[in-house]
Amino acid sequence: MSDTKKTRIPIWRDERAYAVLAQVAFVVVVIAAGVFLFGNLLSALRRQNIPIGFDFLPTRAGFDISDSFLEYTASSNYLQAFQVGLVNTLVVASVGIVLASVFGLITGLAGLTHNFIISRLARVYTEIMRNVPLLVFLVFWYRGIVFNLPKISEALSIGPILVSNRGVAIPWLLEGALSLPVVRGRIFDGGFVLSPELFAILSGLVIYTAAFIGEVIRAGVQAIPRGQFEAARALGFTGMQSIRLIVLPQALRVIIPPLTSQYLNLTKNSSLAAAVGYPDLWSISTVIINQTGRAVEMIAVVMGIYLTTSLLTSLFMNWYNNKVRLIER
Amino acid sequence: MSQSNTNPESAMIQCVDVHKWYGQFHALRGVTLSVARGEVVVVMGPSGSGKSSFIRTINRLEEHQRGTIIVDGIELTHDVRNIERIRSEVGMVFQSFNLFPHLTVLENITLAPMRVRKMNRERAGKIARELLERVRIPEQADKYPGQLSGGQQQRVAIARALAMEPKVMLFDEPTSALDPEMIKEVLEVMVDLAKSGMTMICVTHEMNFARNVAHRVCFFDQGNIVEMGPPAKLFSTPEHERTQLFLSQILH
Amino acid sequence: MNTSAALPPLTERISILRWLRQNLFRSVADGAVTVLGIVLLLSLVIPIVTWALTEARWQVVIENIRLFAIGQYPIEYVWRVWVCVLLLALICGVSWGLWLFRQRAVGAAILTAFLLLGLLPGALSIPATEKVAGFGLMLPSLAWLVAMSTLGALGYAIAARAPARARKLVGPAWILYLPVCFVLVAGLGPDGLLATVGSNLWGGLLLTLLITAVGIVASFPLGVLLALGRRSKLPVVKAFCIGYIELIRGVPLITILFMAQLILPLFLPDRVTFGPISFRPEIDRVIRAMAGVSLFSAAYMAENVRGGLQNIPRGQFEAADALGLTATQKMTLIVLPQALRMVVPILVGQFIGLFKDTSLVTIVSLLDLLGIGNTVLAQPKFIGTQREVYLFVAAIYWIFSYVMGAISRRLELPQSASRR
Repeated sequence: MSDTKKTRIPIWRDERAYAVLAQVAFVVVVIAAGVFLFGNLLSALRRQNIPIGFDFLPTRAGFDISDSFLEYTASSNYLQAFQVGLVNTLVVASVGIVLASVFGLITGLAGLTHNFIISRLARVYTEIMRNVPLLVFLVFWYRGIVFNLPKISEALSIGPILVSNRGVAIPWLLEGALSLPVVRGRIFDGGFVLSPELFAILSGLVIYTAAFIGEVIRAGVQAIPRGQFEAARALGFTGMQSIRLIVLPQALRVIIPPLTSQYLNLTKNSSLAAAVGYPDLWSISTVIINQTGRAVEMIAVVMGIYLTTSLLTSLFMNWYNNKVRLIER
Repeated sequence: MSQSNTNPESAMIQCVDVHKWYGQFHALRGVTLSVARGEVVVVMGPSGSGKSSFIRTINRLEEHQRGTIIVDGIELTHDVRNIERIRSEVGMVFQSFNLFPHLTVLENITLAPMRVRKMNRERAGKIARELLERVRIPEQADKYPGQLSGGQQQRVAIARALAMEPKVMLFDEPTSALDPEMIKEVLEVMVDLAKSGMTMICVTHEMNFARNVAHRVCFFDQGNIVEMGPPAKLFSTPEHERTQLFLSQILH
Repeated sequence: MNTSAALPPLTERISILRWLRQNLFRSVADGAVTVLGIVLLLSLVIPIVTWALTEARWQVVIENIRLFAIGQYPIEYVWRVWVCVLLLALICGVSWGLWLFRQRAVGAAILTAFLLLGLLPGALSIPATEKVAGFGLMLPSLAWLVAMSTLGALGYAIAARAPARARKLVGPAWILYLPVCFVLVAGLGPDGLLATVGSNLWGGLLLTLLITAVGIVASFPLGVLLALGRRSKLPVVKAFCIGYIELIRGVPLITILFMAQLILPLFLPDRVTFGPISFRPEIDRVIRAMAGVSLFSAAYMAENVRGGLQNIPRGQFEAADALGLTATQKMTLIVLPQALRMVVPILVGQFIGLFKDTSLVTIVSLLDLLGIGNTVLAQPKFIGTQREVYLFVAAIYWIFSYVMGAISRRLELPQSASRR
């Protein structure tokens, strides 16, 4: 730019300045709002005599937890209670994801069959679940159905599984041997016993999420052009082979992203466990909040845990999508 | 290079040593061109030669990083006021029409006059109908772009650009996306426009248009003007070998 | 030669048999599955229907229908709620007349929704003990239905007679509708026709719909801004928007609702002083829940709107620039109208999700539809009617969600970009 007579552009008309000014203004507003809000927060906490920090964690919790995979008594501390909740959430989420995938796959395939009765059944089930709030379904399921299951002495047996209003007993590996549950008086003996609450949250989440997963799978398979299936048949593959070798690998690409978000939904939805009385991460946290008043810390930690889970999942998804795309080219 | 026959003082567009990079790629390498008032310049060249980038720098759809561009005495800088003024004086027609699909033909044309020039609805509507008359599709005013053929859409796009009463019109391959029978109807409108004395820069490979209407043809290659001159001379006796090669390819 | 040999087999000639074969008995295995399916269906349906017709105590729903509809809202002001419904009928009539007159299915769905709403006032008048004098609020349901249909038809007529004027008024009418309803429901002064009704008295379906409506209206602009911010060229703005969206989408709604209930009030200053006026700012519990729901929904809205923005061709931005439109004009006149139209079905899906999600306010002790259900179950007279109550609540949610979903699937927006 050899042009020396060039006039200086007034800063308020310079497009480059706009970008800088807009960002500076934005940062100033955000920081000012943050300082204002957090200042208020701190002074409100001070007025209410609530300290901020995590010093309360090692104090005695003093409440019982009905369901726990860890050692826990009322004399354990808040941190331990929190850990119990965390493990409970992890168990519900991981087992729920596996079971919901299985039932979702069945639902999805059922919706795809030519069989009128079966595909209609699948559609009706999906339409019912998709238009009802999960919380409403959970309380109905827990208080309306699980509560009204037969008494333990009249426990229903579905194969080796025993179902009663005091819980559900399933066969389990105990000390290296498969242990089948039996009813002995008013308790189950052997196997693994799920409390009614654990059973309610787990089955409720699975029944609900399977409907959504079924839709994901159905849509994914339907996204594959019919020609692909026909071409596979024309090449002499059997029906199962064409699905396994041609349709499924292609459908997976379409299915996996929404499927992951269903998994994340299930994980986040497990925070409704309190509605069925199951002590998950969030339900124990609310008890701790009620006892200690440390809402800020507890909510922040729980949010942090859920957020980390979903960010890690997103990272994995991005990695997966890139991988699939590379293969495509 | 053939000497520009215009006096720089009265030039409508004056580009001196214009450079542009996309990252590492040097897309424009010191383009110098001056276009007189009422002049029609046709820009040709192989794809990727920078001809599109060049005309897009003139109304700042692309930012040039070095050199000077002056349109009607206003220099194109980071000054937003200048950018606004130049954009309202320069009309542009795109290869893919870029009509607004959610607005009717009439609304497409009246939008900018009403919003940018603050014209009232009646006046803008009247001008729009006159322009539609001029591009020979007055009956399509209340349709949506999606209901028109490509040729009709492109003529609406020309009318839309003209509604801002521009002093310069830029055409970025206006007929490349059209079927042969529609190319003619768009070219006719462009010929009319050229005859009315509009200053025009057209990126196009329509030889007949260039031969009959253009005052000058610029041949672009590798980010710069390789050769420039009156169409008769450039087409019959191209000096540069790349021009010769290119012309032999598009003529056959 | 035997002519029947040229005929297709019996199962192809008789259409019902053909249908059965193709859809139920393609093979032995298929037949077995069909039988299994029918057994499963019957073993589910028969006990449920038997229970519903004989055992179930639906009295719990019938006697508490007013609670389910409006919670503890004072009976003498119920007419204000119905004015809201009538206004909605009017505006819907106008909108239908303007935009949707060709779409019978949508019209039918909207009519169904209104008929259902119309049945409620009739149901409200069932308990004889509650025949309170007032503003004709105990009119039989027929009268309400007539009033609603009249207003709907009036709206339709207005749209047909004066489309230009109606078109100008219908937008502002929709925008003003929710604030007007809010004023009608909440009231204005200490007494009189529009006496204040505290939000602790709002409940049932009324509260659920209010939270949903506020959530939709508040999260919409917020979501659009976040979406634009996420696509901004300014790195600071972009980072902020991404951070907000991902944070909210990464955590369960219930944590946000708790935050709104417990922490939001702490963010407010202790006292606000404007010259002589000094007061202690407080946010009502219902408003807090609405804020939580809106902040939550905005992040999802942003991602959906972003999907639409990404599908706007670059040429549209360039054409707007070339015409000299300012950045704001480019967004509001060219880009957003197209982007939003593209994602309308997705947004409706999200609104349905929001409607269902409002049931979580029960956990923070608001008496929405589900919360009212819980209080009804505490009535000694109706101990043990969980199934009836929750099925009823679920049915209401189901009908609203299903109807909204059906409308959005059938909705063909005029001037949609797909015409290109």
